[in-house]
Amino acid sequence: MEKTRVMLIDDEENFLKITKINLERTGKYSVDTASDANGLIDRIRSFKPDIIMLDLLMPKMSGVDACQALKKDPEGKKIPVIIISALDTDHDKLRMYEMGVVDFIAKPVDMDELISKIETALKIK
Amino acid sequence: MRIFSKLIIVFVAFIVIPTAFVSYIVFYNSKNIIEKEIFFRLNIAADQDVEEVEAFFPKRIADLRALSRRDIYETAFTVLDRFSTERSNPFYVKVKKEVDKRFDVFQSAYKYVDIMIANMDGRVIYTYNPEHEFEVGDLLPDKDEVIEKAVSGIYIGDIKKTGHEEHPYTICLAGPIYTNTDEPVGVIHFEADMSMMYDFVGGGSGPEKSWESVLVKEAPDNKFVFISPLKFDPGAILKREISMGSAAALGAQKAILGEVGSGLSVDYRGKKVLSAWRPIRSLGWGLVVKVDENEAFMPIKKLRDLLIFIILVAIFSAIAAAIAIAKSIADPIQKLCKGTEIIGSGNLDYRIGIDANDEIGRLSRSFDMMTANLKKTMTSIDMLNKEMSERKSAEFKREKVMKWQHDVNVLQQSLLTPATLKSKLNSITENVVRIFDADFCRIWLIRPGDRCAKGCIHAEVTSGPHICRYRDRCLHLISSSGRYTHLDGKGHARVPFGAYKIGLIASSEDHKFLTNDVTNDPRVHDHEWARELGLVSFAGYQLRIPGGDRYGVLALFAKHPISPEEDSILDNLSNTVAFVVRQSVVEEDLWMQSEKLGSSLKESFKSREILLSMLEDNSQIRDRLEKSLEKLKAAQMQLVHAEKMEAVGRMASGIAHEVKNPLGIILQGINYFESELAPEEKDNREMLLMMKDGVKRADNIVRALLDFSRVEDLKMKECDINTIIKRSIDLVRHKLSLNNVESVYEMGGDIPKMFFDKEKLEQVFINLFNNAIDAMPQGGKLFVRTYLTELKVPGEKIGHRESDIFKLGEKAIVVEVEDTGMGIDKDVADKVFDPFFTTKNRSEGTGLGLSIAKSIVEMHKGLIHLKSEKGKGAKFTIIFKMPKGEMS
Repeated sequence: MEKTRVMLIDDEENFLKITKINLERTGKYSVDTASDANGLIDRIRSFKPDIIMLDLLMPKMSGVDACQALKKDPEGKKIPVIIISALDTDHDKLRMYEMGVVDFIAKPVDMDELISKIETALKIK
Repeated sequence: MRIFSKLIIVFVAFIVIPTAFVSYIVFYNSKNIIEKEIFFRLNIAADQDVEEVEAFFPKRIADLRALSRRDIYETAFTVLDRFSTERSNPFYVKVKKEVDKRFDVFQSAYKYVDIMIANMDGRVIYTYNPEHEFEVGDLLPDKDEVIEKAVSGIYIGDIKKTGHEEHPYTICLAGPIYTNTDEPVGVIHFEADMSMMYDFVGGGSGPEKSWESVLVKEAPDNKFVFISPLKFDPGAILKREISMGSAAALGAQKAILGEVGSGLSVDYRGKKVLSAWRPIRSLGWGLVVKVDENEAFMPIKKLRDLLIFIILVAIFSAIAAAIAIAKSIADPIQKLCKGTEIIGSGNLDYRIGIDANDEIGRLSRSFDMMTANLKKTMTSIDMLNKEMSERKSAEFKREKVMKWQHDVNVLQQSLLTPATLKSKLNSITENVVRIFDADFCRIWLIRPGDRCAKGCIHAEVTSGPHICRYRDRCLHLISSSGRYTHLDGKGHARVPFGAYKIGLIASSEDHKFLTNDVTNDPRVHDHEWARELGLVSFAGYQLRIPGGDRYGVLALFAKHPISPEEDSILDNLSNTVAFVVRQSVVEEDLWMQSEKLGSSLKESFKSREILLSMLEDNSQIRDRLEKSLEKLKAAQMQLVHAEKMEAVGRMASGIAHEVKNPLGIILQGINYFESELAPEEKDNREMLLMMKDGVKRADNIVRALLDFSRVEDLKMKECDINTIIKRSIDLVRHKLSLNNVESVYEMGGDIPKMFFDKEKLEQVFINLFNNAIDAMPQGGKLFVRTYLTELKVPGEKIGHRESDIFKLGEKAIVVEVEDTGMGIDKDVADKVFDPFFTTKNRSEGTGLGLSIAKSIVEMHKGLIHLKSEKGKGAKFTIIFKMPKGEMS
């Protein structure tokens, strides 16, 4: 069976490493990680992710800016995005939905919850 | 009865009776024709209205059936149900747009107020009209009945009042939604505007203003209720109930009983009407079409008025003719009658003087001759009477003079007894008024000029005959009786010596002055005033001791002439008065001095009173200053609180971001080790579980801190507090049943809608319910009450002080949440609202729940209190202010 390709973007290196290990251990996912959203469009061309998991508060390029860049791209706009954030506020959820975001998950992230959200998002797609 | 009247009655009767008879026949026939025509129109309109009403519901039910078996629900229903809590989700938005398009077809054919889809729990997952009453997530009203009836066929609700101007009355219908396998998964719920039906019913109205069609429905307790708007009682729809068998709305009663008919009847106002009534059997309703009897018979009334006018014209014409004829017969007879009455009453100069040659003329001439003879006899009797009367008058006058003299003697005797000068002079003026029937009488005494420097009006006269030439003395008014009794008149209290009437009498060589023609006598200057009062005479006398000093003047005005006898008696009396004055002058000087002493004492008392009132003003100013200071302090406290909250908010966001990232790494690590462990390594697995709990606790505290910092941000919307509480209860219902807790509600039905942040208040109530459930581990009862009350007992922030949020006597909305749990000590109860204080295990509570609840309630300008004792349960009381429009 072909593995689901997950792209994980967060400025916390340790979080990226351990989440990649945990997802890939299940045998169902292939994970690509990045510590910032610079060059995101090039990366999705090469990696062709099925789903993107994106942190909101990042240096250099914020999660919102990354979503906007994805929305402008003909390929990027088809990929569902799940937002991972420390601040689980609903202040700009509506705006994020308009930019292609399908779900939100708050830190600290439990693996069961993370996998359930990824699966639901892929089914709806 | 007089001959003239009898003649007029006979003439009038011959003309009026035939006219009145013909008019009555015409009136009666016309009334019958109009009555038949109106009943024909009423019956036609009633039949048409019944047909329209019976066709209304089958059309709506056909719509429901057409919508209930659409393939769209197979997919759309699932998505709407799944994402109804997240309406901004793109899947929800997309599916809603498609369903909206389907419903647009029905909406354009018939304007439904709203079309909703609900799941089998009765929770709304879709609304067509976002502006309408219900939102996604709300529960359908009467959801159990709606779902039960809709699934087994069709649900038709009662007509209800909405409060919206566009569609004031609506009716709800609901039908099932089936899957392809005919499995019911939910319901479609229409809310239809009743206006269209009311328009049908009113469609066949006649030209009359009072024409009206009325729909009624049977109500409990042998009553019926109006279900269409009433023209003459707009507030009655769905409210006004009338008992069967009562004297009002008789047509409606017959329609409810299933009768078909028409006739004269009484309507809901108790007015007489012409009406037709029909039962609407398929709905169990009744219909009445009616028009006021007054208006329906208006043409008949106009005809009646015309006929009355004709009869009146006939009567007036008959009277005019009758008067002319009767006058020629009755006038001479009346003249004779009148003449005999005048002569009989004593006027012997009157002559009847009828010149006619008939019997009445002869009678008149004989009567005139008899009267002339009678007058001659009467003249000699009058002369005798006059002589007798003159003699009597002279006798009367003599008696009067004797009486005056006697009364003056008595007065002079009384002056010998000791008394003050003032009272003696008063007695003199009063007795002069009484004895001589004077209009008023006054006594002035010559005294030093005391007012010249203080603005005596005479002192300012600088030209003319009345210049004050003697500044060392003037006449002081001491006593006044009769019409004027006051002594402080501007012009009369002081009169200059040698000026005006009184001053001239005092200074004159001639010691008295008398006139019996005050309105013309040039020596009296104010003729107009004397004429107005009807005065005739004036007399003034010097108070002098013959050959000695002058002491003043006694003067009087009277409405009759003063006779020489009276003048002589008064002249003598004035001499006596002069003696009395001389005797008392020394005593009066002494008395004046004691008066001065008394007045200076009064002045000192007055100064003391002014001082006291100044002291009182000072204390009021101090009170106002204290109140302003109190207000200023409260404002400062609010400012400090707002700044604190802002700082906590900034700190909390920072902490959340910085703490949650490492927590995320730890949790991922724990997840890693969990999957690494073999099933038999139980101890290690338990260790990892404890670590996971620790992470979750830390996360909960960070979340609560964020909540705590965000309570300032309220999203206010008008809503019903009872609905918010019911929704909160729904969210903890599972926990209630799990912990064997029974919930008891006592919700006040009269609580007005208010502006609340619905979600924040739900947070408050859920927190209180969760605390109550946690306090009853062995199960128990949770009481939730809402009611309106007038605050009577003072408490924290309730009272009459400036800083109190609620004033005593104010109306307020109260919510009580009470449990039968373990309760807490009184000293602990005081701390429960402090941040980070908790009675629970550290792993269960953050200690921020109640302080957040308190902040939210206070942001709504409310109060929250806890009353609890160990072992006796706990009761939270929340008080909200009444909306301003409802305060009265």
